[in-house]
Amino acid sequence: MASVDQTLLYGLLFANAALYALLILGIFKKRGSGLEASSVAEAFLLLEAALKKKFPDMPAGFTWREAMGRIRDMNPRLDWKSLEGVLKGYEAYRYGGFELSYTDPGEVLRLASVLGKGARFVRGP
Amino acid sequence: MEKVPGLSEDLKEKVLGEIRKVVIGREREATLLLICLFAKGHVLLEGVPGTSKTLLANAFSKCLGLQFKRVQFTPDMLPLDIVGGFIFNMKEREFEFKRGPTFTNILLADEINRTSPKVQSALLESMQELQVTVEGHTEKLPSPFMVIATQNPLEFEGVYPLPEGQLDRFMVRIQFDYPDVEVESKILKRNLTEIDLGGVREVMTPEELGEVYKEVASVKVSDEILDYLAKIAQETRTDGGISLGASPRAMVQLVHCARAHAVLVGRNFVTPDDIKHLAQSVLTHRLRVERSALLKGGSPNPQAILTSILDRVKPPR
Repeated sequence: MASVDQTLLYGLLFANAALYALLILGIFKKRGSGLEASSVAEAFLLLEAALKKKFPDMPAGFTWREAMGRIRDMNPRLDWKSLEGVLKGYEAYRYGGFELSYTDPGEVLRLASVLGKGARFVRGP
Repeated sequence: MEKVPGLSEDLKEKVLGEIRKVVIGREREATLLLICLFAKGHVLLEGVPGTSKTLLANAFSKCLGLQFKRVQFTPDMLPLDIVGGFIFNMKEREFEFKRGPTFTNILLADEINRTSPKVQSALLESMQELQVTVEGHTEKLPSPFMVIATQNPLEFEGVYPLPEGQLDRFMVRIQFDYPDVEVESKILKRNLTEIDLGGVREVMTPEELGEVYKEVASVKVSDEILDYLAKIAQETRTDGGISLGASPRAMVQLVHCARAHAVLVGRNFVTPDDIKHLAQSVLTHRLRVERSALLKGGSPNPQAILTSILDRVKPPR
């Protein structure tokens, strides 16, 4: 009788742990599944959406540099040197017709994430 | 990404360094002068007397290594005092053209709005077509040719407002505000000894300027940026608060300025930030506020109206 109780107890404990694990996994998955980007250009589009959500008062005429300045004022813990490099590369691509010098949109997605949107990098084809 | 050679950035530092020897706290204004020089435009310096407009123009001209002339505009001047005219040569017994002070590289037109519209208009052809025509005789001006004009605010006594056509020929208007306490204190300290413009060295050669012109001409402007500019122009023409919007010439000059600015910061393409950075200096002196809009509570300030336009026109992102 005692061994049946013990088996039941272990079974319940295992089921409980599994349930919690699934729950935690679910939460992480939900957080990460909000946005995906296959390129830096796409990541900037997601960042734009995140910016508009975070700063509804931001005028339609904002530029990336103005937006970055505003985020910087929030003082988030981000690698600004790296972000500056990504932005410079993106500007050269967007306005100068150059190849994208950075192909990893990770920093931009992290920034979008800081602004309250879930984001994760999905490597493009 | 292609990086432009550092010549312009280097020249900027040298020029600003020389100007700082005599003018304090006018880096922004000096940089705009440089942008205008690199963009082959003319500048209007506006501010109350005693805010170092003429001193800055003098120091700027001194470090360029270009021919420089100064004309103090007065109400009794005649057009020939500026562009020149035909005088009778007794020896040769014929009329010959005597060149006026316009025939130079940098012309400092001091207090331009103290002279009559007739004399102001005499500069129009020089500024736009870089030539002078007197009685059917046309002469090309030296290259480069840049007018740096100063003017007092229109509320002052004895001034003739520049007509719209004349204002439109100035690529940039630089407004000189009073310095803040910290800068004013430095100015006072600096003026305890006599200011010596002789200490300002020539730090740019005409050849270097020619190289910068080539750099500026090679700066890329994407079609999307051009569309962005066209939308801004349209907004200035349809905004209810403005009766006279930006002319096509104004927008062309804004592009040139943006290219020069890009070169100064080491880029060879124009971004929307270049446009927004320079729009106020290039456009506001050409905008006329609609008076009827003022009665309805509209802004009397073209700067504020332009800010609102720039806020609502979406740049390429």
